[in-house]
Amino acid sequence: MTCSTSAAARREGSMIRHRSRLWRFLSRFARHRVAVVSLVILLAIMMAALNAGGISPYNYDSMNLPAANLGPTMEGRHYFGTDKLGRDYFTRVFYGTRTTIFVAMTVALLSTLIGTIVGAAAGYFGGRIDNLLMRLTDLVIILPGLALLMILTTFLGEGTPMQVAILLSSLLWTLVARIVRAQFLSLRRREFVEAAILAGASPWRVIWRHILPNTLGPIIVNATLTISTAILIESALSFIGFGVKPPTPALGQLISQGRGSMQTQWWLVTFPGLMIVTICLTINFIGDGLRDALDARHARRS
Amino acid sequence: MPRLIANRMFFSLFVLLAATLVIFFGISSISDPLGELRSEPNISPESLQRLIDRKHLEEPLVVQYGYWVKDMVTAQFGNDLKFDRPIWPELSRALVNTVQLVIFAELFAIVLAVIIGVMAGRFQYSVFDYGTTILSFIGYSIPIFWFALILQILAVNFYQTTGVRAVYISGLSSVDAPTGLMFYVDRIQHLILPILALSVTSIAAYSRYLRASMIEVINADYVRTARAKGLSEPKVVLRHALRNAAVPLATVVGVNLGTVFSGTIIIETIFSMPGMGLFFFNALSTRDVYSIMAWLMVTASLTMLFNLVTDIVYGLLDPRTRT
Repeated sequence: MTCSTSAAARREGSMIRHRSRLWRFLSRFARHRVAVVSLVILLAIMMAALNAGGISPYNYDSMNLPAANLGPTMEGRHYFGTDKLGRDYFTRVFYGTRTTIFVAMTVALLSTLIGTIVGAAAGYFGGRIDNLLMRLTDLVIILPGLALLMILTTFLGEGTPMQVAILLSSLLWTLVARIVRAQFLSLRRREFVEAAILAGASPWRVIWRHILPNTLGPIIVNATLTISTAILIESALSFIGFGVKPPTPALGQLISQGRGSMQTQWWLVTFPGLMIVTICLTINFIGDGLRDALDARHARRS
Repeated sequence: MPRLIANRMFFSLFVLLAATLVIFFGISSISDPLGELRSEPNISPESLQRLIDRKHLEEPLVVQYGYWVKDMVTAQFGNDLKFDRPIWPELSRALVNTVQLVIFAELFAIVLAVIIGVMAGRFQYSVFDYGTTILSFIGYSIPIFWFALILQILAVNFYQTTGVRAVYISGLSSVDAPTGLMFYVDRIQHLILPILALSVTSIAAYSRYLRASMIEVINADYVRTARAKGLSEPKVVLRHALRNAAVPLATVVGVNLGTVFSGTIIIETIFSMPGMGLFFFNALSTRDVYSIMAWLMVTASLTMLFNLVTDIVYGLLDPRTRT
């Protein structure tokens, strides 16, 4: 009886502590007003992109030649105008946004996963493993990234979003790896970690339960900023024809298709580009807010 | 210092040797040099066989590697596959053009970033500081290819409304390029837009770094001492603060050069500038593996060279590393 109540009390205590930590994080984040506004804008864009079929009466690939090459107009709800086949550009931009965000989120997840594993192994085990993994990281950093991606997509790629995301992740994990390694190196020597090791905890348990939770801040900040990096690289690749291939629309690809007539139909290039700038800008501001809130000053600037 | 450089150069040779291995076997494992040509109907089996003989494609890969390295050393990368033209003349011209573009863009970025960074760091939390902070966030978020296109649209609009041809939106020189001093004016008119587009990200990154290290330095004891000595404010900021704040910037510039180089692939394609980037783009479009490998080798050598130069500059800026 007493035993069970004390266990319940303990559980409750940890819950209160947990909530207060979350609460502190939220209130700190809320103080960064630009970040909060950015978050709202980004969520709105993401909701619209996820629901790209529902936000306009048009389909992204339904042609309507009489309505071709219209400028942005409220009439007929072509907010971003139409392209030379009369396809509604508003719809196309949001479908493109969906692809681009999907690729970028996947890259952020995958590269963070790879980088965390590499960094944790290097930082925890040290010695020869550390040396080997860090030389590998240096090698990947020094590679001409964009050129390599172009070569790989030329000879291997079918240009599906998932494939582009995997290729991008295979190059973008290096920063996380370095950050996690640095954190592990300093935490490895702290008393609570040594106590856990002395108590007989396995390396896996020490890494998973004791060190990793303390490195979450920098990892989260970095993952957020990786989304923006990935969007910029994927758009550039899709723009020069080495990324996501038609008929799947992506923002970079829309810009590339509109480029031929950009002097007269400026909206074809302007709106997808503005979308990229808006998304990346909001993500960078959110990253800044998260850095303040999570007290992760040593994470990278961009 | 000379000893350090000698050591580094010796080490670089080994890295380059490793690069030849990685490049050759990497490219060979994912591509067939004749892949594109095989599917073309107007190439006869005889001419295909001639190509196979010329590049020794029937030998084992290791032997092919030997021939490739031999070609690279003795015949400057040899000829390309499809048109049988020597690779090096075009590649070297491209290299000169790209180095010119990168140097101008980076110089522009560094000068502007130093001005912005010093001002923002010196007058922290001023309107200027907030303004440039927001601008640098935008600089981080703007895709350079899109910025380049917008610059082109604006340039054409400017020409159409005023009739003044201030800048050109493609190429490196006019077809009827003037001679003498006007040649350089013409060249600069062609380079302005690519330089602007290529340097946005660098300006944003460098100015932020410089601002941060300026803030760190400006509160240091030796800066206070300099002020206490009664030195003028410009002297304190430029002679004492900036010189120390600039040290980390050298590393950042060195690391960032790779990104700038990647940027030239996009910028040169957009502005039709005959540089390394456009060369690579064309080599990939025709799937000419020999041109691709030559490009990768030159890029690897350049990277090594840049790293060496960065280390030397670092030594010049920070006496502590001079051993």
